[in-house]
Amino acid sequence: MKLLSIEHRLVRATLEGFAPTTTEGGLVPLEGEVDYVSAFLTVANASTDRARIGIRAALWVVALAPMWMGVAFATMAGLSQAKRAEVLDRMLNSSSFLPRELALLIKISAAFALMSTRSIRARSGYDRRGGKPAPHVEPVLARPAAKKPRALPVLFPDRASNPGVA
Amino acid sequence: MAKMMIEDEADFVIIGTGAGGATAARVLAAAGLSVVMLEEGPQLRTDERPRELLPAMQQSMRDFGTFTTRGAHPFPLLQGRMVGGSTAINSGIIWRLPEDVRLDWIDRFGLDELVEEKGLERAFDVIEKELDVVETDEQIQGNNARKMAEAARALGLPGRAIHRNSRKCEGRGECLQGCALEARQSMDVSYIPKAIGDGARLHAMCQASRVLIEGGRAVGVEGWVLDRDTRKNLGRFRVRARRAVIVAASVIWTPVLLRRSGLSGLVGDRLQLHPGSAVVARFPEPITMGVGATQAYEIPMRDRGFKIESLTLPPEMLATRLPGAGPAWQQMLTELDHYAQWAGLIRMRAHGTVRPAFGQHDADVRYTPGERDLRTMREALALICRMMFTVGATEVFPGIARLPQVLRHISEVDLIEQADIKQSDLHMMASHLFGTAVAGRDSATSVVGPDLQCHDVRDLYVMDASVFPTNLGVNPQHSIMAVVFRAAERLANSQAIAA
Ligand SMILES: Cc1cc2nc3c(=O)[nH]c(=O)nc-3n(C[C@H](O)[C@H](O)[C@H](O)COP(=O)(O)OP(=O)(O)OC[C@H]3O[C@@H](n4cnc5c(N)ncnc54)[C@H](O)[C@@H]3O)c2cc1C
Ligand code: SF4
Repeated sequence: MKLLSIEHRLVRATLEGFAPTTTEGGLVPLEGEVDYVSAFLTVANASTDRARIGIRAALWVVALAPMWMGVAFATMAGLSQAKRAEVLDRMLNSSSFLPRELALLIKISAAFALMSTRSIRARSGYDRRGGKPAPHVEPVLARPAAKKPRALPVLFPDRASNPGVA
Repeated sequence: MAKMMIEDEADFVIIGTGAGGATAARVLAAAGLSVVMLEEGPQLRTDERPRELLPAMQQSMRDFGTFTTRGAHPFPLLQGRMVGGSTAINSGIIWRLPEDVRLDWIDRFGLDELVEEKGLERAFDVIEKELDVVETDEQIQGNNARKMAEAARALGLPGRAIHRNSRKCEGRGECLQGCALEARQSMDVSYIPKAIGDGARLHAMCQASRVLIEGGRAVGVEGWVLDRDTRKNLGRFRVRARRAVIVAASVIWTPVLLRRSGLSGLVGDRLQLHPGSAVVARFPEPITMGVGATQAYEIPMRDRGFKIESLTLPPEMLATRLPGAGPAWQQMLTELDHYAQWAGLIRMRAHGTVRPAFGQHDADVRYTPGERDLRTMREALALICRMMFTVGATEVFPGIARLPQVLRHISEVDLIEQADIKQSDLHMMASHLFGTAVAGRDSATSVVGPDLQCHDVRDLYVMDASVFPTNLGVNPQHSIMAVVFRAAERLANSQAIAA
C-alpha cells in the first residue's frame, strides 16, 4: 500500500494523538522519536487485502472524527495533540462497535510504533528487572531527539542465504 | 503461461508442515518412503527470525494476525505461515487427548482403530520423548504464572504448571518470535529436520492450489511458487504422488484446497473453535511479564467449559490492550513491568463453515458463538477478575465493551456476572481450530474415514486438525500429532504389505 501525501500527514497526526509529546508526566515521546508512518505501513502491508482496506478506511474515519463527532471543523491534523488524545479516548470508550473498533485498529499501529522504538521501550519499564533497567537497554532520555523519523529494521535482510524456494 | 519452476515426484506429497504435516513426514520418511513436503511460507533458520515483534509477526504469522472470520463482528484466527506452521509461533503447550473426547469419537464417529487406547498412548509416549515434554519448572515460571498459582491456591481452583515441549526453556517469553535457544521443539527444529535427515524433500514458498485427481484417485499437487519477500507468484510447480497426497494445510486451508480440487459435501462444515479472551491487571509489585516461560500455569475447568492460562504479552500488545489514549494511557505505559495477563479459553459449542473465497488463496470463514458460549466466556472472565483481586491486583481491565474499562474493587466483578454480554463486546481470538474435514466411519456424516482417507477420492488423505469431529476444549497440537502419528504409521504399514 502506498499512502497519498495527505494520508502521510493524517497517519502521523492521528497516531501521535495516542501519546502526545506535549503531555506532562507518563511516557512522553520526544518530537520525531517515533516513526509512526513506517509502523502503520508495515502493519497494513502485512495484513490481508480486506484488512488493509479496513485499516485505510479506519484511518480516514478516525482522522475525520473531530468533524463527525462535532468537536471541531478540522481533521486530526488541525487539532492540538492533547485534543486529538481526547477524541481518540472518547472513540475507544464508545458504546458503539464501529468507532470503538476502528480507533482500536489504529491504536494497534500506534502501539507497535511506540514499543518497537527501543528508546521508548526502555522507558516503558517492560524490561526492568527488580526495579532496575534491563542491562541491554541504553538510557535514552539523554540522547538528542532524532531529526528524521528512524527507519524500521530491514525485514528480510538475508534473502540469498535462505533458499526459501528449494 | 506461467513458467514451470519445480517438477518433482515422490511416494507421498504432503501439503503443509505444521503439527499434522510434519508428523506425517516424520513417520513416513522414517519408514523409508519417499516424501515431498510443500509449504507456502518461508523456511527460516532460528537465527534469522527477528526478535522484534513487528518483523517477526510479519515473517511468520499469517497476514500479521489480521485474517478474521467474516460477518458483522469479525475476530482474528491466528495461524503460523512458515515451515513448522503454527507450531513455529506457539507456546508449546502439551495436552493429551481428553478421555471423554476419545470415547465420544469411538461412540459417535466409529473411530475405534484411530484412537484405540494402547496405540494412542504409545504415540503420545513417543512424541513426548522425542519432543522433550516436561512440566514447566517453578524456576522459569515467572511472576505472571506464579501470581496465577497463588490465586488458584487461595480460591481452591485446580491449577497446575503447564506441560510444554521445551525441556531446555530458560523462560525468555519469546515463543511467538521463535525460540532463540531452540528449546521449544516446534516442527521446524524437530520433526522436519528429522524427516529431511531420513530423505524427505522440502519445497518452501510453494502454495498448493489444487490436488490433481485422475480416475477418482489423487495423483499429485500443483500450485504457485511465491516470492519470499512480496509473496507474488514467480511460477508454477507440480509434484506427482506415486502413492498418495496428504493434505495438512490446517482447518482453514485444507477445506479450501479440497473444494478447489472438486470435493464438496461436508467439506468445510463443522468448524469448531476454542477461542480466548484475556484480562489484564495492575499489581503494586513488579510482575515483569517478559521474564518467564511464555505460558507456564493453567487452570482447567473442563466441567464448566473453559480453561484459564497465564499468557505473556510482548510490550506492543500489552500497550494496545491497556485502555484509552492520552495522559492516562501514557501513565500506564511507564510501568509495563507491573501488569499481568491471564486468558480464558472457551470450549464453544457453535459450529461454523469455511469456504473458498474469491482470490488466489482466500477463505470465507463464518462463525457466530451461541448464547451459551457467550455466557461461558462471561463466567471465565469474571472468575479471572476475581482471581486477580484475590491476589492483590489494584486495577483490573476486563476488556469488555459497555462495562467499566477499569475495575478497582472485587465487588465490581458483579457487573460482569450480571451483564448481558454480546459478541461485539468481546475481544476474542482463536488459534485452536477443529473440524472442516471430519473423520468418521459413515460417509454421510464425515469427509474422511477412520484411516483419514477421503471417502470420495482414493489416495487422498487429510492429516491435520480438520479431521477432529469435535472440539477438544484443550490445546490441540499434541492430539493432532498423536492422531496423525497413528494414521501415518498405519499408512506406512499398509504400503509395506502392498509392496
Ligand atoms: C499463537 C498461537 C499459539 C498456540 N499455542 C498452542 C499451544 O501452546 N499448544 C497447542 O497445543 N496448540 C497451540 N496452538 C495451536 C496449534 O499450534 C495448532 O492447533 C496446530 O499447529 C495446528 O496444526 P495443523 O497441522 O492443523 O496446522 P498448522 O500448524 O497451522 O500448519 C498448516 C501449514 O500449512 C501451510 N499451508 C496452508 N495452506 C497451504 C497451501 N495452500 N500450500 C502449502 N502450504 C499451505 C501453512 O502455511 C502452515 O504452515 C497455537 C496456535 C497459535 C497460532
Ligand atoms: S519461553 Fe523462551 S526460552 Fe522458553 S521456549 Fe519460549 S522462547 Fe524458548
